[in-house]
Amino acid sequence: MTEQEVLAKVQEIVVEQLDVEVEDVTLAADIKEDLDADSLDVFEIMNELEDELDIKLEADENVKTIQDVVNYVKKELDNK
Amino acid sequence: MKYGILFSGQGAQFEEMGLDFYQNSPLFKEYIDKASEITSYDLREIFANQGNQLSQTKYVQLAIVAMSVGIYKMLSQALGNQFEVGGMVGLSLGEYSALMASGKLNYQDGMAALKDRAIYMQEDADENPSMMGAAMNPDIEKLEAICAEIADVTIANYNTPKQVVLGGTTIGVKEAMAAIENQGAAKRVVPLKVSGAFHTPLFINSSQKMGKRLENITFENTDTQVISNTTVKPFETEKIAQILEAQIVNPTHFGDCLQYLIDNENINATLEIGPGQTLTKFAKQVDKSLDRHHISSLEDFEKFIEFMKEK
Repeated sequence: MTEQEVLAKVQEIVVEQLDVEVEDVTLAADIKEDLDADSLDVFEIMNELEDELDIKLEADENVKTIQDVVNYVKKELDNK
Repeated sequence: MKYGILFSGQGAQFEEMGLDFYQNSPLFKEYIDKASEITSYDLREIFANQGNQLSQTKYVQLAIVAMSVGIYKMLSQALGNQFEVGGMVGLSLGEYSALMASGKLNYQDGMAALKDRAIYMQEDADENPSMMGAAMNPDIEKLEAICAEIADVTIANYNTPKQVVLGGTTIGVKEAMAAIENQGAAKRVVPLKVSGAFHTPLFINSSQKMGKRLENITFENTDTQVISNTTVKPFETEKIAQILEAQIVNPTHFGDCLQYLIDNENINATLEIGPGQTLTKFAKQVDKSLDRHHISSLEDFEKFIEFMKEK
């Protein structure tokens, strides 16, 4: 998957989980600060990504922004 | 639209919460000032959190409930009968907000009792190092079996079909978390940052003291139903004190309470009142079709009033 495709998938899941608009889910967006996620939301998002992309994501990986999520997912996909 | 009103529990409090309401609504201010008078605390200072008061259960319980009741009063004033309420449910301390909002518990008695509840719970929390973990997508049977095997760990909150919280001693919960992972009893278990494992037997002292504390309070029989986290049925006036005592050491069943309102009162919308959107997220997990709203700030309040007036 390209980075663009990963972003699209992340946006889809984040929009669904956090009830936000896709325009809000920018690469720079801080998941907790800008998108109002709590720590459990972050885990739910990771769960969904794991299920949809068939990868394993560690719970305590330091992800703050959407860019962080995209980078992490892309790394795991590339390593599969 | 028929609403289920959801009153927030502890966990999503934030610095300066309530101050926007305080500065703009004389009615809200009245309730906060009254709470300060009743408890001899300065609620505004607690909201401002300059001394980290919001991270102590002793103070945050009062702040959340006073704020929630204040918002509810503003809502009633602004919307009156335009607002159809099928019933109310609060999470844990939110039950006090619901009982006061519904008129079953008067504000004076309620805030005074809550002050003591918070002190008792702070004492138990300080004495018993405890921990909680949220199990996501749980296999309830497996989870209950694991808890039965480990001393001092129980399920404290059945929040939704997808989220259950365990609580107990730190050692016990860590052991449980390992077992859960080994047996695949949940998709993940996430440690939670909370002051104490409320709704577990570790809080038996608070519970007993609360029983005594509630003894001389008169509860009113009012029409608005409040569904109890502990019994998953509407609170019966004569049993309120008893249920509130049991509430502290028994698991909460928020998801089932909401389902009760859906099944018996045909609510099709929810409105969460208080800091955060935790209960709104739970509502989504219980039933996606519910039209969900929340009021956590003055801006949220104004948006909701506008939304209601447009109908």
